[in-house]
Amino acid sequence: MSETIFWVILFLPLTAFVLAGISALNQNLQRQIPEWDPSYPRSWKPIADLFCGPRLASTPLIIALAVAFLLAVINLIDSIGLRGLPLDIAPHLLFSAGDLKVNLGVRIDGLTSVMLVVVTGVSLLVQVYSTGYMDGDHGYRRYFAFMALFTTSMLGLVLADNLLMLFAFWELVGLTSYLLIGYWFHRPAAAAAAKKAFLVTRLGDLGMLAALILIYSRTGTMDIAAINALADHGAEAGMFALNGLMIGQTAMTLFGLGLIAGAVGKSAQFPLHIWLPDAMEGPTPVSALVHSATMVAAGVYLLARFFPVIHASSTASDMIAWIGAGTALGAAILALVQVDIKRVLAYSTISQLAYMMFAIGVGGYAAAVFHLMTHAFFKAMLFLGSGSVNHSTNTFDMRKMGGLRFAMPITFVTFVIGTLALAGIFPLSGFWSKDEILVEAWQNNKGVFVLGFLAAGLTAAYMVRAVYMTFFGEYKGGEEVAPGEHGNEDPSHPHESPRSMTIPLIILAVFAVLSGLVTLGSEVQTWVYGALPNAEHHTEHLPFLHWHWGVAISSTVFALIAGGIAYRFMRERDRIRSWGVGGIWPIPEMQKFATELFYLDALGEKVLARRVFYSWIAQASSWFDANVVDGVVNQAWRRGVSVSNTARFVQNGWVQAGTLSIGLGGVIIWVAVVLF
Amino acid sequence: MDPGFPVLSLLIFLPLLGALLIALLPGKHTPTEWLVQNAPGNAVDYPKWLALGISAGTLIIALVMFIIFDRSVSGFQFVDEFDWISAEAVGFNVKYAFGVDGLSMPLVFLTALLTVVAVLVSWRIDLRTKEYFAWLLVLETSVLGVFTSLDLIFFFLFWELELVPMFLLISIWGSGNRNYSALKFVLYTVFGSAFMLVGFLALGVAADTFDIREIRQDVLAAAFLPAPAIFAFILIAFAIKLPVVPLHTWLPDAHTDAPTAVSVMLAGVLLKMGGYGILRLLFTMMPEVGADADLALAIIGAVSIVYGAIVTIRQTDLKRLIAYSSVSHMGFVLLGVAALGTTGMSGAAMQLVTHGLITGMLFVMVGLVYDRTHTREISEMKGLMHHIPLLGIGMVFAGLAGLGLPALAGFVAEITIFLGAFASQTAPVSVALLGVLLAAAYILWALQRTFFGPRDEKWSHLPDANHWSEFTIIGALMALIVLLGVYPSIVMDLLEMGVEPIVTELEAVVSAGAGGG
Repeated sequence: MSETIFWVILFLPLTAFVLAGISALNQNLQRQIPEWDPSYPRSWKPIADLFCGPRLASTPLIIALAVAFLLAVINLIDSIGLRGLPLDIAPHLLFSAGDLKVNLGVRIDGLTSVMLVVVTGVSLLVQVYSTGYMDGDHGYRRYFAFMALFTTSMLGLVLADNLLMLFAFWELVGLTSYLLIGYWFHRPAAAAAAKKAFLVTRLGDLGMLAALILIYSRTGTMDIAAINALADHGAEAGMFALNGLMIGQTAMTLFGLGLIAGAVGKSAQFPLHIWLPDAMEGPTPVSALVHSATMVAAGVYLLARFFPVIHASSTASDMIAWIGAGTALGAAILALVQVDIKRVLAYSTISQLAYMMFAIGVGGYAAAVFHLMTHAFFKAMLFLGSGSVNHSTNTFDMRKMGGLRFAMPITFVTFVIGTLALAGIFPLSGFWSKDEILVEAWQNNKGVFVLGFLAAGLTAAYMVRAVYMTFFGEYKGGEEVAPGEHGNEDPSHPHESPRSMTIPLIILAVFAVLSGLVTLGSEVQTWVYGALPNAEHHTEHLPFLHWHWGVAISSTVFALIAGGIAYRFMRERDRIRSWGVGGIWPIPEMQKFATELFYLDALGEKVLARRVFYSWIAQASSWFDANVVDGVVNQAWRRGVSVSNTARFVQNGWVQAGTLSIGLGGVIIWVAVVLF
Repeated sequence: MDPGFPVLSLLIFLPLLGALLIALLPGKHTPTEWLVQNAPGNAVDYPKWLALGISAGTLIIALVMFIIFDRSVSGFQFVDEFDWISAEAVGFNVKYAFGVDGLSMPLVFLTALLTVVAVLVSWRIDLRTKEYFAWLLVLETSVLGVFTSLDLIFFFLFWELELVPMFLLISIWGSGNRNYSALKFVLYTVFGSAFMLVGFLALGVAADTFDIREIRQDVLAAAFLPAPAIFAFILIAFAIKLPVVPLHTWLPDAHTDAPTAVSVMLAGVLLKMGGYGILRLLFTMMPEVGADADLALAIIGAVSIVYGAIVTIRQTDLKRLIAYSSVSHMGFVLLGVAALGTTGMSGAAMQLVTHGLITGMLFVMVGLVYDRTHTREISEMKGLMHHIPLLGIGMVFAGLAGLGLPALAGFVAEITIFLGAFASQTAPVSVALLGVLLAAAYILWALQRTFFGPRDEKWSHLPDANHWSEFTIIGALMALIVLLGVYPSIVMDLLEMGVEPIVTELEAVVSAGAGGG
């Protein structure tokens, strides 16, 4: 494939962004035209109207993504033919400053090809869904402008061939996430969540920025292929050296840790996971696309991209393995006590991303990428399903739902398919990819395996609980539309969502069932491994399918048992409550500990950000600035004035005083001359 | 580039001539009651149209110069020079000498551009418009003079000339505690200038010339002050202007009480005089002292970045908040300079340009909002986005540019500085990275409190951006910020050309020093 194709893929959604942006701006401009002002130039109003239709925002984006998706699929087929090896494409110089050369370039290999298909495919379906979900919303045009910008940035992120370009798009993705979480900016919670998301992820990005600066200042390059080759080459006497590039083991470890910091922020891993549940304040299709399927997976992508770097240092790989394993279990526990369906899915996302993270840590490169792909399909579908439920009930609170399986059959069936895929039930996609990860963990790190295994059981339990509360039992009536908001006027009679929403659900359900089967095709791993330097070496002895009967059967049985217990519990929960048990945890304190999110959120936001930083450090600094730094200046000024005031006494303009001074002066000089 | 025509002198003095013209022509025609009834709309307000025409003319000249500037040769172009004072006997030789090189060309263009912005943003001023616009143009001439002077005496003259219009503009057309702020600004600057003058005289007398192109390290032996003292004296003036912590407290006061246009000029170009001076004078003329001062400069820079950002977070006045953010952003300039390499210094110069555009735009937006709300207290604003969405978009855009978002101009400068400075100034750069996070915190939090949140009916009467002057400013600044963000080469190449001779000399003295010692 020629390079142009990839720039076309990138520029298609960018064009849609420009059109949607014009449309959104026009909406605001038109609002302003005072109807009574005769001097207003009317001549261009018809032209302005032409650019104001809401469909100008959504239709070009959908067309652009459809074309981009086709191109991505063609590229994927090409890439499989090439065994995933990178295409030879020279970068273009964007600007230089001294020795610094900043390039723009695309890197196309097996990993990029998979990501392109996932991003364009899921984005396309989500945009189609959005035309239904967001229909009638005041900010429809703005919504699609942001979505287009997001997709552009995400594509740029996966296409980038150097770390600086990757970082730039990484930040832009963060920006669009901010804009989309805060899309309903009139809700204080949404505005706060948007800011929190940006700041928490940027805290991680500091690590990534430091890594970028470090690798550049040590090796003078930011080229991904060169860095990976260097890391893959291995260290001799504590030095990595290849093709004239050199870096010490410590610097390489720090570089890896910096990348991990970035990934932990973006992929919402402990301890920077606290932003993702709040991010559910954004519109649901945003949660589906940005906060589950693509953007949050960018952290996993980053570490997969720099897989040789992570494994060039055991500190880095162990760290990400344990962070991942701990987060997988912890987030699954939290998912079990949420009453908001989107928050259940948010914690589930954290937990599943954590699987990919520890997979990278224990060396399961292909398994992580594979799970990233299957997860993108089924988790996007689950989120869209929750949006579909919300579309008719106006709420995400599962306590106000129930019994929706008859009113919303398509949503129900697809949601159950997603649940089974997520829980890893044979033969749905989640089974294959999760099994791969657990096998890798079993072979390389038993402790990580145990945590991952427990999390697998909890996954089944929290999903069964969510399905039960939403679709089984009696309908609790939903929620009235809040004043000033847009929603279903008659929530007491829930209905199935429009076709623009159900068709994407059905398509994603097909992927959720079938996408796991690609592992059976023997080329998959070869083709993903093609992205690594020295690909032949990695794939030489590769078992095409890690199959481990023990892991497969035990994890499936465990999931089934956990799901069964959860189902029993939900059915009998009124009776169980009468025993005095508050929730799913037998001891009330444990329940509270979990509903308070292990107090991590409070620690981060209330204690560290508000109290320690804002009330202590910042307050002390600003007091110091106003009273000491500026105080000295003002004091000096005041002293100067008072000295002048005193001295002014001499310059009083009296002739007598003047004469007296002259006389005294003469005497002093005379005395001086005489004495010396 | 020699156009065979003193185009640079024309550029510098056109605004001054325009100011004279405005002063001599009649001012705003006061409409009689009869006119008001029969001809709605204001009568023609000559001064502002004249000011717009003259500043636009200056901008066009600057643009033409920017385009025909020869990017293949380094050194000064468009040079106009002749002897001004030749007192050979006492060694007091002053030249009328002006010229631009890669370093000053973008700053000249920025000055011309922001003056047009300043005129447009003052479109609704109706107090003593004749004097107001005349002083604004005098300010332009003085800043252009500073950026193009090739003689220390002329540099000093223009440096001081700028104080006159600034003092009057703040104290007459300002708000709040404007007399205090104007006086503080002037006294603080003059305090620095006194040191600078001593430094200049020491240099000039020792070298028998005040020509910036000729004074070099080797003349310092003959000076009546030791070289580090001269360096420090001149640095004090530039550090106050930039400003750096702890010499910064004049800035928030001056900004807060100045009229919008003056804030734009102050943040956009006047602060740049400090950074420009450090590169053009200190590091060009005294590279050896500069090379020794690198760690001190880097530390001051890092402290300014982080401390400035922390103090910014606590501000409750929107304009003051932006003003403090300038302290933080100008710290990057010192950090880049301290790198002592082409990359870092180009980044520092780039930061001068991008900060001029971005903070200029932030002050424009705050000013336009203030014109409507008549308050700048963050706690009194809420949900403004519902009522003034176009201004809101401009504000959010400028804010995002301010926090260093990629694809916008600020990112290019900051990343170049970081990449250039890390190898030699590892610890200060590592500390300064925190500024990236803090900048996001104060900007996003300010946006959240002022523009987002529920609709507040108190503001429902506010008109959104609705005048052509507002659309022009916002559109032009946005376009330039994006242009420099996605294609920085158009300016970066020039700046690189400008700093390269400085770095060459620096490297020469550093290697000579290393070889000798």
